[in-house]
Amino acid sequence: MSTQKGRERLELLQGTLDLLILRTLIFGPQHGQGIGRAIQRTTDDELLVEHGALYPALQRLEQRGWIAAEWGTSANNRKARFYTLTPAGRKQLVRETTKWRRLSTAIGRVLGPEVGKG
Amino acid sequence: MFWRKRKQSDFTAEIEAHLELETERLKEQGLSEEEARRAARRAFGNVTRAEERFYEAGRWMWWDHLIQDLRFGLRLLAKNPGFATVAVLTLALGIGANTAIFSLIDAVMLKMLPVRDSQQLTLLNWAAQSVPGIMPASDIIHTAQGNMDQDKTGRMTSTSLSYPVFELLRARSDIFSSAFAFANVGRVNFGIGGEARLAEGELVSGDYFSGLGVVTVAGRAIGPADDKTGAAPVAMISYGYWETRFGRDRSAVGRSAVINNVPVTIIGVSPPEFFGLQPGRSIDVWLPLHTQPEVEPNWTEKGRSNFIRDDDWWVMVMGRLKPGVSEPQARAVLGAVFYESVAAQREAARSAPRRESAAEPIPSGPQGLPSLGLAPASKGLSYLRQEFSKPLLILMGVVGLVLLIACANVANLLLSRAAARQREIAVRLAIGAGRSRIIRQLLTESVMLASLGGTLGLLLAYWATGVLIAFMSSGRNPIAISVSPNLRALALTALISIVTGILFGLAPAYRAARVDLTGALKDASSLLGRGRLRLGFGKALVVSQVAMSLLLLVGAGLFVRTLENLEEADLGFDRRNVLLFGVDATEGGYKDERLLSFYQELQQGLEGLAGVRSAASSGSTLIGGGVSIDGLSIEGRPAPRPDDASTAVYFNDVGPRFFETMGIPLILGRTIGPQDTSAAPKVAVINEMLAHKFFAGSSPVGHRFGMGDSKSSSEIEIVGVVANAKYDDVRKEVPPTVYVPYAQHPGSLREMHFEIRTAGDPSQMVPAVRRVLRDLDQNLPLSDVKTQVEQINQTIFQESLFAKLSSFFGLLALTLTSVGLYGILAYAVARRTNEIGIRMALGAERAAILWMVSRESMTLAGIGIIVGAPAALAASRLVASMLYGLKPTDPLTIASAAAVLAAVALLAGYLPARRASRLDPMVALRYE
Repeated sequence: MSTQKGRERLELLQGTLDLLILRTLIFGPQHGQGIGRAIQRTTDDELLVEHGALYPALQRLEQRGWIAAEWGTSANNRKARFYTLTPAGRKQLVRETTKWRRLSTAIGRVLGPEVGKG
Repeated sequence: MFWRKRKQSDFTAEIEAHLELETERLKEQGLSEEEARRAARRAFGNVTRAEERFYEAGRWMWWDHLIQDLRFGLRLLAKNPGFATVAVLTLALGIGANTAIFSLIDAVMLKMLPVRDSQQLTLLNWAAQSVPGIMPASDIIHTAQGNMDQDKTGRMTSTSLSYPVFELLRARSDIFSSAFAFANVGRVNFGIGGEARLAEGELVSGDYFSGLGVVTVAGRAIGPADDKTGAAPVAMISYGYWETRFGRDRSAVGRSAVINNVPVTIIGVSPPEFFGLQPGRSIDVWLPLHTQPEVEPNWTEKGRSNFIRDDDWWVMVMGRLKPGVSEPQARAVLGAVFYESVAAQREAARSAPRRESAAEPIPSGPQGLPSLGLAPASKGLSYLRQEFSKPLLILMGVVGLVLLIACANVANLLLSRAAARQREIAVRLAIGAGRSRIIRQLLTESVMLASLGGTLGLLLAYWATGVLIAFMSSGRNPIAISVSPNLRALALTALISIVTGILFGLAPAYRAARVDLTGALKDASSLLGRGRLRLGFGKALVVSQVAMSLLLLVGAGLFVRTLENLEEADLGFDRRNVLLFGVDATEGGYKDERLLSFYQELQQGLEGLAGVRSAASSGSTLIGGGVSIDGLSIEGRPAPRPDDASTAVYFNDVGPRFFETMGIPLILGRTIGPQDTSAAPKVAVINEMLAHKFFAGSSPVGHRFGMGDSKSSSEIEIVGVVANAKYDDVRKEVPPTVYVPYAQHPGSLREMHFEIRTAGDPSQMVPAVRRVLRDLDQNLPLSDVKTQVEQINQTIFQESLFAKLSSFFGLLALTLTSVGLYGILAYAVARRTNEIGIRMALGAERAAILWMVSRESMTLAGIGIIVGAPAALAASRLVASMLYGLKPTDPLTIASAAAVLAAVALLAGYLPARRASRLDPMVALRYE
């Protein structure tokens, strides 16, 4: 993955991984590797998602009942554990999204308008 | 929740799948298999860490840690068996003693009767104002059975009622769903197939068993049809009696037996858990109430049936309140019924011709009339509780203190061990163990110790309870309680051991986890500077141990000296080499002249035995607990008022040679001899106390007096004066006593007691005595066979129990405290090795070092004694009523307890002090 080299990526903020996972799953069932790929793709490789951190997070969300899991077969015919969003998870996503939007707006106000790169 | 069941392997499989998928993807991007695999791994990060996090998220964690902690703790204990043994044993002793005493308290004071809905049961009683020692309401009560107690307001109370009153109360079916009566007949002569044995008997009304809800295990219970005049006499036996006498043979039901000469049929067996209504006293046989005239003919005065008389109060009444009837309601209704009855009785007594010439005028109105009371009967009658509740509570306090001392000891042990383990803990903290994890590890260890101690303690409790019961049963009233360490006792033990574990686990654990890492890692002795401060808590523990030990030692001293005082008390007679037994020939149908001659023949037969110096007989044996008290009216002096307690004197019916046999010296005149027959003029011998009280300054010989109900005050002539001898109780002062020949008072004659003075060991004479009795009449059983010394020991068994137990616990406390003291000093010396080395290198004398360490132990003990002395003084007041011959503040006892403690402290401190003084300075300086 030569694209990743030489470029400093953003560390995930505490608690945001959960939100990203839930958001990703809104498009349908996905396995862990797929979720990781999807996050990286949609953030233009800006975010560093350590794959190893993904699974404990999935486990945690599953425990809370926001996602459900089932073993299935991937597109290329490999066994994988597929996660789906539960109704509770959907509500949580809405809540967290609102919260996140308010937070980023608030922080944006403090930081002021973006200054041109110098 | 499925996730709980998700296994580690499943999670690993998921990660494996992820890596496969990622590798696949990267390969598609053109990487080689090898490169792709490596990149996937790199992107994943730390697989083990992910697995760990999964693992920790599950709830397997704490369980796993617990197992780890337990394993580790066990390993540590095994590595240090000395510590483990001392800690576990210390706790086992503390917890075991507590459980044993609690089981007893539970059986005696808390346990409910094993009957249906025992909380509905109520026991009736009455109370009346009276002068102490004088029968209350004597105008309407002629005789009252059973004990009379004084209540808080000074009124005399009793639970005996007359049969007519019982019937009146029972008739109130608006209050009672059932009411039943019972009366204690004491021991009866129970004959089966020609073999007579004694059995504890009780008379019960027909609805006793149905009212209690007690169901037989064989046969049927006594019913209303059995409890009628003229009904075929039946008997019901207890499970225990069925077991011992009949070997649980089913054919026992239906067999005929002879009880006090009355042929009866055995109809049923009570369940094993039912001993009667009195915890501690176990009934062997129940008979219908209406068999009383046959079984106990002496209770019936000629022509006046006890079932009609309202002045003979002999039955106890228990009732089951109807659902919905409140206690105040029942009290009001039944109280009115009762009052109406006693008021009518008083009216009748006023109008009836007087029985006694000197009796007081009977008051009109309610003055002095008894009033009815209700008491919850769910725990049975109260005798046992009265006798043992205070001793048991004191014992509970004693063992509680022992447990505290034990806990302090273990806390100290753990404390010093935690300090010794500081380096280990620092290492564990340094390589990443959480502080909470360390605390939990230490707590697990202490709870583990406590559980081991608790388990061992429970075993100890089983054993100790048995021993205690056996000991308590050696008193005058044998005790039958079913004491199995029950759930409650078990729960309490568990609670004590766990709380103890947490209690003494917390302090060291808290401290251990606050270790200063760098310091501890560098060198344990670098903490030296703060050593004193850190030992502060341990020292406080030792001081409190010393204080508590002083308390226990003072208690032990007081009880031991009480026992000594009692054992050495001057009784006024010679207690050695005397055999006692009782015979009741009236049970064999002997009456009047035949009865007298039977007892005379028996006495002569006994005197003829080889090895017997002399034999005598008396109504009451000495220090036997039984007394007869009556008023005395002396010729030529004003007649005493019936409520005047000052003329009350003790009587004893004795036969010839009584004084000679008992070793009571004659002072004046003559003793009672064979010439004092029923035909001869009535005579009496008095003791010095009586002579002093009534005839001070002149010789009483030749004076005449009358007693009790007798009409004449010149009936009996005093023929002699004997020296003072204690009568019923070692603790009491010698009472003014009158001895009369039993032959001259045959009316009250029933059971006779015999005293045999032997040349050798009196207990060796028992078979010979049995032979003499069998030759006279083979159907009469011997009762109360024991030596005079045994009889006295029985009356002071509680003191002896207390002396033994308190000595044991005092010794235990002393041992524990010295271990604690030794431990803390040994530890202090170990920590100060370096310092001591420096001191010695600088020229300190060995003696100075010895003194330095010893001084520390003496200081600790001294503070403990100063703290403990006022506490001991205060606590000893609580036991003042249980002491004899000394005050609770006895200075000698307190001083010797303090001296013993100081000596032990010196000894406990000497060993570590000597070790310190013998250190090689070179080694000590290098010591880490």
